[in-house]
Amino acid sequence: MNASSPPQPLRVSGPSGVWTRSVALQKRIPLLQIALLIIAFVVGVTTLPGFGGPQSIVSVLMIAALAGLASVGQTLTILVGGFDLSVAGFIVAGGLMVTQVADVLAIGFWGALVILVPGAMILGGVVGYLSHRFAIQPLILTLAMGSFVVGIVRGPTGQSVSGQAPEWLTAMAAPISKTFGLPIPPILVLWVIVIVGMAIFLRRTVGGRRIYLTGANPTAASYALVNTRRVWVLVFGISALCSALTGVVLVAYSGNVDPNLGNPYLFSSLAAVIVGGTVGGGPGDYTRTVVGALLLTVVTTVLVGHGLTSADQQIMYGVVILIAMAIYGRERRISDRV
Amino acid sequence: MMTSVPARILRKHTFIFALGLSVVLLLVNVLIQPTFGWASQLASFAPLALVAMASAPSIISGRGGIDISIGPVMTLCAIVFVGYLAPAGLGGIEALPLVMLLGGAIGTLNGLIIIWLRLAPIVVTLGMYFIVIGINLKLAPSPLRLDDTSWATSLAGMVGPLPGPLVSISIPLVIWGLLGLTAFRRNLYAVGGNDATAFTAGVNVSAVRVLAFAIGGVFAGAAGVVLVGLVRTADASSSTAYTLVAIAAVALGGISLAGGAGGIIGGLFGALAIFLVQSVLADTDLPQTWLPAVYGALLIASVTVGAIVSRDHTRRKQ
Amino acid sequence: MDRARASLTGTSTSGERPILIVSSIRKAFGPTRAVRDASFDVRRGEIHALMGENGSGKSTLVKILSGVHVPDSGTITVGGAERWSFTSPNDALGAGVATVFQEVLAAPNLTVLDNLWLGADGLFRTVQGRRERQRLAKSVLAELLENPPELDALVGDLDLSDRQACAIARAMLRNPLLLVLDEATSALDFDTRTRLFAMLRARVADGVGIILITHRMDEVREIADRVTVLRAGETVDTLDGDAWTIEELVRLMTGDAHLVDTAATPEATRRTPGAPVLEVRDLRVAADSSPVDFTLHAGEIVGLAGLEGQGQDAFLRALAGRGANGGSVVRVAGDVRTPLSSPSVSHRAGVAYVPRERRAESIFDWMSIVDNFATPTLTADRRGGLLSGRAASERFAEYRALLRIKLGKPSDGITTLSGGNQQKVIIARWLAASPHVLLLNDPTRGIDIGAKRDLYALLAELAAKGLAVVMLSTEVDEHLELMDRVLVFSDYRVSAEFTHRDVSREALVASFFGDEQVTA
Repeated sequence: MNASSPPQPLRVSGPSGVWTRSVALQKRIPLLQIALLIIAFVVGVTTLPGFGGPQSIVSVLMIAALAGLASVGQTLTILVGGFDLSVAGFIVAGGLMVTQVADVLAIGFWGALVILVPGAMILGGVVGYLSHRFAIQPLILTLAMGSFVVGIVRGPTGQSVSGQAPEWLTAMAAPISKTFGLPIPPILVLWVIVIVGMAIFLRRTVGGRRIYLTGANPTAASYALVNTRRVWVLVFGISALCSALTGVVLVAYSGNVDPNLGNPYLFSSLAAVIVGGTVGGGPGDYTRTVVGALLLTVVTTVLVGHGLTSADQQIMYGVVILIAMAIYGRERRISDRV
Repeated sequence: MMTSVPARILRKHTFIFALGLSVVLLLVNVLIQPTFGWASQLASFAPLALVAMASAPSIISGRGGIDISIGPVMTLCAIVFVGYLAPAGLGGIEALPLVMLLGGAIGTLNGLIIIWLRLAPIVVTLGMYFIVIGINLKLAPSPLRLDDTSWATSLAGMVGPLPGPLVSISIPLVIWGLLGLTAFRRNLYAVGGNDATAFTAGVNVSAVRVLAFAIGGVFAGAAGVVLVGLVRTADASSSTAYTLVAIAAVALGGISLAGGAGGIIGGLFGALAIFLVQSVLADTDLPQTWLPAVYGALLIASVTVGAIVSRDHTRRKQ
Repeated sequence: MDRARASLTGTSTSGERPILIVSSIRKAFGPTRAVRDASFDVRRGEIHALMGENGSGKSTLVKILSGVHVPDSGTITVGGAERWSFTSPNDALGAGVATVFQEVLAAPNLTVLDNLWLGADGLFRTVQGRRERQRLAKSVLAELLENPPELDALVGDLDLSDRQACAIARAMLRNPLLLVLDEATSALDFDTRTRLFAMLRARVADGVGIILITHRMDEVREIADRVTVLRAGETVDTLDGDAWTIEELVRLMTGDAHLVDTAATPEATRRTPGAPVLEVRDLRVAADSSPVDFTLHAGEIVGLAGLEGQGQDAFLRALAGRGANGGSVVRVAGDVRTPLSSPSVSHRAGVAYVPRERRAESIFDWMSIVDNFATPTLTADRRGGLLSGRAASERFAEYRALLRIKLGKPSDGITTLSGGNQQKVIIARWLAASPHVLLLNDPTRGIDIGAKRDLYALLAELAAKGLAVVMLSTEVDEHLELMDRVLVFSDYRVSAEFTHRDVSREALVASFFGDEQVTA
């Protein structure tokens, strides 16, 4: 044998045997999450009156849908090897744009949208570019960009935050609304479209494949002639856009905008992706995130029904992130780096 | 090649940029607002300075080291001080070392998880960020009020003959200075610059990294008490306020996010620059709502510049 | 243990018990056995050279001696104290073993003084006062360097030779019982090297033991008392200072076993080279190296040989359009001349590059076999705008047959394949781009014989159809069997060139070490 350097240890290193094999299976299908989801649902149905009823299911689904929509961008950025903490900021900015700014600048909903869409993409793209070009933690850049974007949107609107969504938008988001006569709220239909769209995009387009390649092994991707910089710019641009549009949808659902509107969605987007089992740099996909979002929503709803406070929720998110990373995301030993 | 004299000075004293910026901003401030109000400005500045200095050690330790949980930990220590130590009769000056110990314990926990599980610091401290925020909300569902007679208020006023804020700011500086008398700081910079080298030379890399997070936590504890002394309340919802600003201060102060460079002085001057920016903006009637945009832009700019500078440095490493 | 005792009867400056006894050390990394059985000893006051080809286990052995890795079995005895192994570099240093590594490991952000004393302190405890440190540091540096840098200079500002000198000085300052120098002279300039040897001789007179790992025969001749040869993870023999010849050393290092049957590729199937496809003029592999001129012809297989890091890697990458220090690399296709200025230009010009580190530079480890295959040629799988898995599988099937890749299903994970089969998938990846020039960077490292043979046959077949191949290889047999021409690199220049007719094992290996051509 003429190997002169030891093979690099796998990303998940640890004792071999049952644990590693279970982890390996778990990496292919989110069995654990689906099982937990079913368990949580059953617990809810049996312990909370009315939980299993159609009204309740629809509203749980709608909450999950909102969390899910907020997690689209997060999924992509985590697949490519980063994080996006600007979700909160872009959600607020999106919501504010179509309500307050639209009013104050008298450009109406669609006028605001015309500014919002390219604006979000450009700002997100800048983050992706700086991050890739100068090897800066995207986490920090997105944190800063989130703050920045809230600032420049709130600037023209001043201190008071009192946006009202256009009526037709709010009507679309009500739980009892209908889509083309079917008793399904448009938000859910939108979510299903996004789920299908993302599945096709990630698995069946060249662009989606390039995202996976860039995340899996940026060096190899570069050798394989993937323009990794362009991928980063696009991914962060799309993520910012999705967050902004989620803000628009959110405003429809809740009717008004407040500056802290986005924060819970930041936490839940991170948690949904991580719980779903998408690892930094892949593997993973949006469908997993959907399972993660559903699981978190159902579990949270059940726990809230049993007295869980928002404080407890925060703790839960933190612990869940740590556990998921301990399963999926460990680094190499120092002795292997000498 | 950055070997010209100004470039070398910049590298050796990485905080020079922030210092220069601060001086300029100070002049601008005084020009715009002749009644500067030194005392109250210093008092407002102190918590920011401390939280920025608390963020420095973990970043200097390298390998993506950063502690996002510093903000929430600071608030936790404030809450514990006001809501639990004071009512239990421990609200005197002995509370300071106690909460610093608490902060240090959480920092140590962060460090241990990072080392043992071999996880990225940014992820671990992010998880801890959420956990501590949740704990804060549980411990203090509504803001806790500090007793006006508490000694802590003197930190925002006068401590004997000295201005309180100067005493507060000197706490981390003194500790850091003492550490400089030992081998620890040398070890920290070695680990931050190239941990594989430090490892092969016999440095206990794990211990150094854990201690870096511990020290940051200790400073965060002090920051919590100082904050409470200023605003007289311990409010769980302020957990997130300082996080972004702390990172911006550190980046601006020349502490490379890659590790191994800069010092807490950089955190101090970076915080000063940011504070003065805010002050200037306040004077110019710019609405508060623009502040997040300024912070965000400042952070992006300073992190980018910092990365460019340290990249030049690393590139010559061959 | 017995061999160690037996060698004690040889001449040595100060007999007694050896300062280091390495006994039956074994180390495996997963399925790779880096060190199979290493046993040797180093006496007090001895300079002991350790030699071996690439992949002989030298660097793993050094890492074990320095405490970075823990061996699977065996013992290390230092200064009479036997132990299983060192648990950490700190442990090794505490036992008196100081190591200077091959990759210059200096802390660029620290001053010279701090670098020299790195690790000497405890976590908080300072072992030497500042003035004492300065004095000792100055004295060691003055011994080693004619113009020592200032103690407060940043190491990152120093040139490579001075940085390596700092690493050496650091080891010296620990007053070790045993000093291990792993290719520590590779970056030093000539004067410093001379001073280093003087310093080593002085230390040796005080009873320090020194292990010198080097590939430079002249150094071994100049300074070594004994030489131990490693091959394929085993210590094959220890020779006395004056009692060896180059031929003997080379034979020990390369062994007699041939990996590929010489009779298998008769001379008759040698191809005649076709038209030029690549022209290289005045290419400098490193900043100050001699320019290289080279022309590659269709149907040729050219080997790049030499010891690790002598410039062949950089040369190959330059051929791929990945960076060159001056000079030009031009793809010639009939009348069309395309300078290869970037990887994407090279790709479009029909030049494919297979990187060296399979794991780090080619494999997407959690993705499937067929996805790994399809990467640079994804657009070929588009059906109606969407990627078709079936199209990719069909394309792959063709190469699977051609390369005889052994796998379960194309949708299996790439890591289910053996190293050899993984490498085949990667090569298929690049063949799918239909290149005219195929550049391979050490493609057969760590893969089994069967896969290697398949690869050789394939390359010969493709070359017969007009493909031009340049292959960097660390395996002598490949150069002997496969290549029409072999370029040997030493110190960033082409130091020798062989054709298939005049190459021989001994001549080739001897040329690596910069020695005169040895008659077979």
